Amino acid sequence: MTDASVVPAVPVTAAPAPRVTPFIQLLGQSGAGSCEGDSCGI
Amino acid sequence: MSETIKVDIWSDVQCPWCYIGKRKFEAGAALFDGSVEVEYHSFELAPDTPVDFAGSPIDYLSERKGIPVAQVTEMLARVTGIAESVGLHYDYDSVHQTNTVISHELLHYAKAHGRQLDMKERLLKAYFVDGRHVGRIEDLADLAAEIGLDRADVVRALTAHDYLADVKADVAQANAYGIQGVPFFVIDGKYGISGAQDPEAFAGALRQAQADQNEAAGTTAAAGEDR
Repeated sequence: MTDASVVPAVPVTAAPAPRVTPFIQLLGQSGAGSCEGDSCGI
Repeated sequence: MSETIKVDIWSDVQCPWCYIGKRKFEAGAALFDGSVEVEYHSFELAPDTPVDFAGSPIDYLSERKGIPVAQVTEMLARVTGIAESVGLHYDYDSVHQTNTVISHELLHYAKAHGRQLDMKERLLKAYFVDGRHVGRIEDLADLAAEIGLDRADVVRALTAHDYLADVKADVAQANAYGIQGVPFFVIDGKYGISGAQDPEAFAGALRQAQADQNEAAGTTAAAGEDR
């Protein structure tokens, strides 16, 4: 039951929807050759 | 008996480590005693690159990244040497720097026609070894025809951008996985391998996925016997 006379002092904004991230476990060594953006670690 | 292990690979056509990583993955899969199914996915490293960049890769990297020409030259020589070690003869003097989005659309077209793996290999070789242009529809149609795809239908599909939404869906999936660089390999939907790692790393991940499948199958069978 809500009291219509009660107005929250702080505007309530909707929380962003959580991004669903599939879980993957990283294997292998770090630092292997790869490209990220224009940079290719070369 | 284990099922086929699915491997999803995010990659870009003008990523030197992606071709090297492809060879290393193939060597790792050969070490693995089991069945592997590969599917390539699109990743655009530099989506704002013009289709016809006027200049060499050295010009591109030095202008865009502000890296001194001498340093770029040294870096390209190094990756060329590593490519050579896995049997790939990179020729950076003939490379045409371009935008790869349409080549990704072609890879999706080829997948729809059961020829994605052949198309991927042809595009990488075209870019790094043969000095072919992989950003124009007519050039891409020629490459598609070389592996037996219908050239006229390829031109039609690429002109209409029939597969652009599939490219963008791949990019969105990469973001969901948190993939920031390529090549990136997802083994059986749960193990990730980043970069052009040694073949044994890939073989080990495939064995791990196979062991997981066998364990799950054993658990299911045991549960059935308990009923």
